[in-house]
Amino acid sequence: MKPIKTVVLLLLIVGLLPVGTAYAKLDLGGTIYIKWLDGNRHLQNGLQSNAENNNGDQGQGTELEILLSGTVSEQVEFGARLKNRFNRNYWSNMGGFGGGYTYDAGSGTVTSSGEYNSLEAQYVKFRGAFVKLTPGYRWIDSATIGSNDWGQFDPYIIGKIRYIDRDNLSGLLFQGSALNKTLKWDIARISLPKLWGGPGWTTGTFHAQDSAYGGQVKYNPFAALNLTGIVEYSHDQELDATDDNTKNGQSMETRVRDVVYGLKAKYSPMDWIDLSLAYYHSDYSTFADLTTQWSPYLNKDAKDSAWKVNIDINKIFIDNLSCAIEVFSIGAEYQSIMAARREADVLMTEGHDGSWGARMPLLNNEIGYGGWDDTAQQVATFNVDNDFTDFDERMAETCIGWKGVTIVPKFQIDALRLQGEFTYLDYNTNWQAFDEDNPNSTDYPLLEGNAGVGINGGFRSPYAPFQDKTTMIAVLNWAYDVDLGTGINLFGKFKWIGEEDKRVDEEQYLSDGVSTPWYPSTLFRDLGDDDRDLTYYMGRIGAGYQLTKDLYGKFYYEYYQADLDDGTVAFTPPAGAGWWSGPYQSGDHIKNKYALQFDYFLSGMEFGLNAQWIEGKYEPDFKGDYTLVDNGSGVMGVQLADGTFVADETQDFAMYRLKAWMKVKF
Amino acid sequence: MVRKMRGVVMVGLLSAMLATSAWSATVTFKDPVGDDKGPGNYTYPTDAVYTPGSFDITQFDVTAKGSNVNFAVSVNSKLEDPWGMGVGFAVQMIFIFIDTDNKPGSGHTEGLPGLNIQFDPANAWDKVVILSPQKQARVLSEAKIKAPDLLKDILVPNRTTGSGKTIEGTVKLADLGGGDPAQWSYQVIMQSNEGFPAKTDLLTRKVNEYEGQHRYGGGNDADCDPHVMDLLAGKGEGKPEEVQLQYEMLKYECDATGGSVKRATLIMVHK
Repeated sequence: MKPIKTVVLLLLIVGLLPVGTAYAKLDLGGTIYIKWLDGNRHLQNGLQSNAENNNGDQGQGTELEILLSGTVSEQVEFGARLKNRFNRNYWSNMGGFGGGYTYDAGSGTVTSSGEYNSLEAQYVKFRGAFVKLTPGYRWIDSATIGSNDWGQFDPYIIGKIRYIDRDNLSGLLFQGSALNKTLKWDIARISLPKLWGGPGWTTGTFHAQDSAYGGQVKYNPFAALNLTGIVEYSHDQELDATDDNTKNGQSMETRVRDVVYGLKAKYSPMDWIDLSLAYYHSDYSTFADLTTQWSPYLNKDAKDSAWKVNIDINKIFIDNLSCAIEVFSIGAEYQSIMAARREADVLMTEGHDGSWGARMPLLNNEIGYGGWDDTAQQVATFNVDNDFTDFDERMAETCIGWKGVTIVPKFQIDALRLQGEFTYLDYNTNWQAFDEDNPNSTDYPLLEGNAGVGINGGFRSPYAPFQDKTTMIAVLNWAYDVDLGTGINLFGKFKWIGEEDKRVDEEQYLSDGVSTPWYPSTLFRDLGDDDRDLTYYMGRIGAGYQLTKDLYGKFYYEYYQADLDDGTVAFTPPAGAGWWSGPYQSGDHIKNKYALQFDYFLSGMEFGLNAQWIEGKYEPDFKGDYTLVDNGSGVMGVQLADGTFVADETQDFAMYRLKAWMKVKF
Repeated sequence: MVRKMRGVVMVGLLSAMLATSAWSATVTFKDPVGDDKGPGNYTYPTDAVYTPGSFDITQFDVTAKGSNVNFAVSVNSKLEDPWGMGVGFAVQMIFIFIDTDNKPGSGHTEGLPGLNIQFDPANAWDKVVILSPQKQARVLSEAKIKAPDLLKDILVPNRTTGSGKTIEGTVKLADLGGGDPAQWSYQVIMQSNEGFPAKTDLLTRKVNEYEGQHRYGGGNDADCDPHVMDLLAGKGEGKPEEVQLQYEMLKYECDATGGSVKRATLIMVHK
């Protein structure tokens, strides 16, 4: 009923538009998107693969999106979006019918369901609206007021957030040009998002006027040269608690201030080579005085930089042979509050694979054993957001602290396409005791506290108190189209990652047998006890074929093997203690993934299906001094320092998951 | 008799060799750098994904290989895939109009929906090849709805890929009507892949008076202006004078209500 009421309201608005105005028009359109999930975890906490405590692999649900756009006059344009969101809007809810409130006397909590629960009721929400003015003045081209995804800027400084939240940030955007459009400028004021735009995932008690200002100038004097300057200033304020004189207004004090600027240049001296340079600098000040390290930003003042140089050689001696080189360094303390959280890939390297993105293999309140498809996209923040994503999307990972070089050669001969990659990574976050002689420093957020732990090391945890890490990545991608029938698209890949991290490499942090300055275990007696060594392989082979003129099918198989030494048994600290959380993961990990995909188009309707079977095993490998003990149930294993028991037996995993979807745009 | 047979065989072999060498020839056209301005004043959308030069055609190659014809278009910017299209490029969409018979008045003079162009009757097109990062089925599905009368002459490669600075796709020579691609006339239209097109546009991106985040600027808010960022002009040799020839070709005129008074009228280039 609610969508019908909304449509009626919209039709009334159309009727009220000035009649006979040449430019007055309203376009009403939208999308119906239906999703079907299936899997063997049988979770029904939500219609998305990954969302903390809100994910699932079961059920069907519908999203309705209504898009209004139009013009009031030659100078005024508008747009708005209404949409319900996938959450627990299952078809089995019968439209969110029924339900009510339930009071639990024991815990004193009230839970709601059905029509009374916003996650289940299928309500259509106002997602965003904007008005765009093009006044025709010489000094300004346009002003956009309202919702914006802020993709006009640079993901290192001001960037996008989740695609589904693309209208969530609102502000003012003024744009203009000069010098016959060879110079363009943008000035923006963005209201800081109170849910995550500051330390501790908040902009504090006072939020309504907190803001980020951005400015950008692009100059293109001739085709071969492009220059860009960009600056951003974020200001998070709070009421001054010491000001008790209310007769003359209320004083404010700064909670967080962040100033970031960037300079970019791109030059193409000849048609076979392109050069580009980007440099960013951040000056971050926080007065938030947090006692928690669960925060997407630093708990200390910091100034740092990020830069990268790209050389693209488009033709090396022969046609179809090219090479791209990227040298980069992202400072350990580079902080831009408004940097892109996902929907951007700021580095050329593939980085890690999304398949190992789960923080634990069996966390049922998250993506699960299969992880995400494809490779990770790197973002220049650790305020990474992979919530409300499905397994067929790419995982975002932080590249804060990364520095190194990536070389990507490409070669094509007839229908065969080859692309390689070699990346060497060092880290600006390689230090002992945070370089503060204090391994318990709270200046650096911990988040999942699994930086460099496990196979991927955590997608938003760049900081560990002890790190001495290097990473090498080598990849070969190939694709070949066989001229048979409608064309068989063959593809494959081989990837290798070698990673070493000596972690503690100063003896002062070893245990003396009585106490330990850092690790909770007095067994930590040797610098090698915490060394990490990962050898990772991945291979893929597959084929795609246009089965009919409307239906395309693809099948692929992936094999993963990770041999991980993640410290000895003496090294493993208690779960949740300090900077580390997660299970024991040293040993051999093998994963096999079988995937079948279809895409079908039919006159304005699009249908997709992605079905996967993933199975694997983990064989623990215990290092250091240990004794196998019986856990009391006849299972032999090792008792870690924190009391956790790790069975000395192979763990088997199996995951089936399916996502089918249909989209109709009208 | 034997000598005659040898002679026949030799002639046949020679003919086959000549035919093969003709079939594997590449026809190349060049376009000046920096003319990605449509009729002279068009500007790019403001989103960062539209990198400078990404709609600037620099070269167009047609290569006949056996029973297939490969079309390759190079641009003045490294191809990227910010939208995850999975084929090596994302923001570009290219229409290659072909006059296969070079007969004045034979073929179509109207452009495809969303381009707002027409062709001079002496340069009517017979086939159009669309290079899009969208799946073939989606492009054809859109064409079926928005250009049903032209559908039989719209070709979309089974797979279109981008690498380096070049986008390419291959279609069957038979689907193009057969013949010698070296003798055909061409016009290459550079547009943008619009995944959320207007109801009457074939996956094309609009040009407005002022650029928007995902709209070109410098044109007209109505549909009287050509939605073309770059094309071939003159003899397709990449000479500086071809820039002005392009601007002249894309000249248009709109009335006060946005109706078309003079639509941009294109001509082909040929070797």
